[in-house]
Amino acid sequence: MKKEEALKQIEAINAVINSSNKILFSGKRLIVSGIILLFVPLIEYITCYFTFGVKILGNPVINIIIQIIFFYLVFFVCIHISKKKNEVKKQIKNPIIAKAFGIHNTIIIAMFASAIVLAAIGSGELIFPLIYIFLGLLFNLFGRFTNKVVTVISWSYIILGLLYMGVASYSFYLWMVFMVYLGISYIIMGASIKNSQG
Amino acid sequence: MTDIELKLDELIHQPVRTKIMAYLINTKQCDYTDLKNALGLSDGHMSTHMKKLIAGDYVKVEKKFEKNKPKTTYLITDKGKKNFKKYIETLTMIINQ
Repeated sequence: MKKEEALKQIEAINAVINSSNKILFSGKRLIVSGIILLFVPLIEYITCYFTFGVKILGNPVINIIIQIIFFYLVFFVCIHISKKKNEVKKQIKNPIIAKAFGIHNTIIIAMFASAIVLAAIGSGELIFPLIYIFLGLLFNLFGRFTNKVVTVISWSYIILGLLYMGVASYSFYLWMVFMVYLGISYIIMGASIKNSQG
Repeated sequence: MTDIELKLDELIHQPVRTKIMAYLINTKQCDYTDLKNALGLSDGHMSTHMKKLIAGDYVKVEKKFEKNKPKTTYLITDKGKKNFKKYIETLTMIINQ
């Protein structure tokens, strides 16, 4: 065997090994999520006389639960519609990575539980900064197995979340600015993942 | 360095089988569908080359039922790991010659 052939063989092996570490989630889905996030301030404005602006039974916990369910359903429907009929289901192929991803569900549950607790104790303004920090942790985990863009954005979430915590009480409308950043950053991450997946 | 030392493992030195072994060395185990999709192989290719790797004791197969559906999982054996590492070392030696 010639040197060139051996080198090509090593490269082919590396390519297979690298491919088995990737593809954790669809870039396209992240782009769709980003677009929905950009619409959230608009959705909240339109529905402010329906649920979010009206304190049902004067209970902030019920309001936050309704919001969580509402946006979960919006995301679920939009992502489901955006899926192609014959799209191959992306799976975590590497069982070691799959194990690391077991923490993902714990972070999501902790995120929603914290939102409900903060609403109950009357610190609703801290919900969004906390979600930012949780999302930062979540994407930091994803970033380890996808690309650097995801890691950089995850750190920006953590830093902005901490910053937002400090200034949350100054303006109620700050969440809209942060939501727009969230939407745009989702689209950037989605595009970079889509690009790296070819 | 002699020619005998640089002889490549014939069981691994075949494009499809190299891919399968490279995949399994990293993931340790993988089910049939995932492996087939990840490497873009046909059922025929999978079956032919897996049979050889299993016969050589490089890969072992586990069959079980999950939600009433049969599931085939392939696992790399210690012999498979050892020989794949040896194969890489031989390739490296060829490059460094």
